[in-house]
Amino acid sequence: MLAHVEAVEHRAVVDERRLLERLRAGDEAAFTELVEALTPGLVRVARTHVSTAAVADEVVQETWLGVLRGLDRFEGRSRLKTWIFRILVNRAKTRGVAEHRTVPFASLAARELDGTFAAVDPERFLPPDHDRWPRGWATPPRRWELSPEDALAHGQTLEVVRAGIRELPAMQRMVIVMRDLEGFSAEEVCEVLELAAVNQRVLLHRARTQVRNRLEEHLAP
Amino acid sequence: MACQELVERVTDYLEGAIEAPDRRRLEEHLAVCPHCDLYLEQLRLTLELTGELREADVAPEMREELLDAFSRWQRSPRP
Repeated sequence: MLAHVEAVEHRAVVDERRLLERLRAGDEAAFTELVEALTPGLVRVARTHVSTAAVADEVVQETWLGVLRGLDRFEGRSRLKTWIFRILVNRAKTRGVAEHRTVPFASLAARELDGTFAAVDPERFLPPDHDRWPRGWATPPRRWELSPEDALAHGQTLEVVRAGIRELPAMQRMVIVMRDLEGFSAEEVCEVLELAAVNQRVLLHRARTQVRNRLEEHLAP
Repeated sequence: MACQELVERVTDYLEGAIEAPDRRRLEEHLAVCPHCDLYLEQLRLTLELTGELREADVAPEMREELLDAFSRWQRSPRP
């Protein structure tokens, strides 16, 4: 399994090196390929950071221009994708500052990591001194009514997920979008957002469990 | 492991960021607690549904502007 993962990783690195060579040689098809592959994800991550979709699109455009400007200097120490998302996040940050609405990531993260958090409402558990099941479920989760065959219902479910993500605080939103939508690894997210591994995990935990709670309200009211 | 602890450790578990003794306690609990088993299943489903939100193609205007930028870059003098 690990050997397989390593093989896939290795192939990705080789593919990336080849793509980079073509880009530097001025191959337009290679650029189109990269734009097609990464732009939707860049737009989604940008939208978690700036106020409007139009500004997000601008940030993404600026990112690609920044990529072109920096391509010859890119040293390949990180993955190409990680490097591009870092450019995006820095652009988005600058843009956010210009819009007077963001604070540095570090303080955003600190604010979101602060305080207590409960993945599940504490009221749903038995007290710690319960004689049979201390801190066990008092109100356990109920089965969700999911009907994947009903496209309309499924669309509504996805809308609940989308809304749930939208409601999250900025850092949690960025972490869940990068991890669970864009398929970044934990290490890559830490690198792009300048987070310690444990903090990345806490933000992810808070984000995922809150989205689960929204789904629960919708699917097992 | 108590249910209330499990729901706070699931992400560490899914991320493989949990010490072996805790992982054992968690898995032993899952084996006997259908409620927590269901909770974990629902969390996995949440991740799956989140993954399905990927859509949206590149807007044609953006693609055009980017290709213009690329040809300008191609023509520009480079070190």
